[in-house]
Amino acid sequence: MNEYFKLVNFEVRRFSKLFLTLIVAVTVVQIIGAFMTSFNFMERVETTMAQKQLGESEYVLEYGAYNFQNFIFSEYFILSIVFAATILVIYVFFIWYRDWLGKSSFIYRLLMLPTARRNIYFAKLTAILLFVLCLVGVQIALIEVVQQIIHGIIPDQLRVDQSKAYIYSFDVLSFLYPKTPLLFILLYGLGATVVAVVFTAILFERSYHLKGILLGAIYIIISILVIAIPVIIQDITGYLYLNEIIGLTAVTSILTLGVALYLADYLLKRKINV
Amino acid sequence: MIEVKNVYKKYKKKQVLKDMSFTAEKGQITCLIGINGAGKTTIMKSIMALTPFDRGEILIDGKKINKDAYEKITYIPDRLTMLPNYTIAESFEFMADFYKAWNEQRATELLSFFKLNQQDKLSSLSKGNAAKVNLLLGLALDVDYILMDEPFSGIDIFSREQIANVFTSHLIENRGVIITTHEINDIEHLIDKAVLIGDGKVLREMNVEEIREMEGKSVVDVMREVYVG
Repeated sequence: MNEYFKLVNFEVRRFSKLFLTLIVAVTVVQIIGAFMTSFNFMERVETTMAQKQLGESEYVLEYGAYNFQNFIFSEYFILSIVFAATILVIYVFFIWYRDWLGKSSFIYRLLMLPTARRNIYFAKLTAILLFVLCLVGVQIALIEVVQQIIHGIIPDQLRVDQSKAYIYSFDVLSFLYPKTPLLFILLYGLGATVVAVVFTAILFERSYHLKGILLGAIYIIISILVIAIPVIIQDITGYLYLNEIIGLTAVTSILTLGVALYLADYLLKRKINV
Repeated sequence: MIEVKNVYKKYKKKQVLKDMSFTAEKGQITCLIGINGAGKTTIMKSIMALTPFDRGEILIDGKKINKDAYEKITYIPDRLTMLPNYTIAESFEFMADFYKAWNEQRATELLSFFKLNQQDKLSSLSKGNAAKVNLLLGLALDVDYILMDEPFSGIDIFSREQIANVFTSHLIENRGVIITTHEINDIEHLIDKAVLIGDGKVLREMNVEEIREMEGKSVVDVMREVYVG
């Protein structure tokens, strides 16, 4: 267990500089976005009010007030989220291949550590989850900051103050911050399962090379099908309630995760090739 | 003792190891000799469970390799096994963090023996110095067996001499060493046992001292007999 924590610490530190840069980039873009959407709105308001001789309340009645969607659906927010997600998706692959490719032969050292090899796998998986959760945490804080900026620029009468619950019900945010703790566990558990499946597919490729790419691809397809069994059943029969679909998906995800961990352990112990 | 018993491995239709068998004892330097592609590196990786084999058995002191064995045996490949952005000092920290067998005193001793600077980044080292760091990271572990893959490959003559000196020092004493090379001249006078490998199998296994005394032949003489015919 101790070795597992050491490896997690090691994996987190390895990506920390790039990850901090990513967080700074997301923060800067979203803060600029908060200023830009607010200033643009105010410019539009002032121009329209001057042209049409309107008061603030008349403007709001005719054109609507600023609400948080103005920011959420701006390119600043969407692009920063897509950018961060893309970097993390790339890192899911890079976290393994960086130990093999280029000049690095660090995989020799990792595999020769006096610890169960599955700890390497668990540490990399944990590191990815920590990065995701950290990014989500930063995003929650950023929403607060962005709201303060908007409040500072746009007067009360020109904006609609929405409740946190309402803001977090928007499409993107409801996906990042599920409403209930159970949904949170289910959604992020499903995410962890997907990452574990991709990790195991990478190990197939690293163990069997060209044949491994095919094996990995087949394995990913089978895993997706297994996870999606409840949705497929629902599509065919239409008998299941939403809660049943969620419950069954949790079961198929746990099963898929178990298989991914078992296969990864087997490949790392018996088939890995450096 | 390391026992390699009838190890067979096929890779992409090619038989890389054809029922290879040999032993390497503790306290002895065993040299695997063979041309490139003979299977020297593959058998070393097989011993360390870094590549799978199809059949046969490898035992270290009578046991199959497991996680605890990495405190007893280490492998020094022909490339750096540490993060290139680490300094030598950071490499030491990493090793100390993960290996109970890490001997900091010996590491420091080796550092001055090889005249290396702790603050140097691994990525900035010359090939010769990188090979020395690699050797250092393996030798500073208090392990019973050390496997070295081509430690003299592509490095300057002075670094070769320094590395060769390691074999006659207390750093190797009482340990079992398996070393591969295709340039036997550097270490012929140092080795106890030679295992001549060709085409994935052991062509000849011999005690160097015995051959010298009984038949008056050097390792190179026997190599000529085996490889040239």
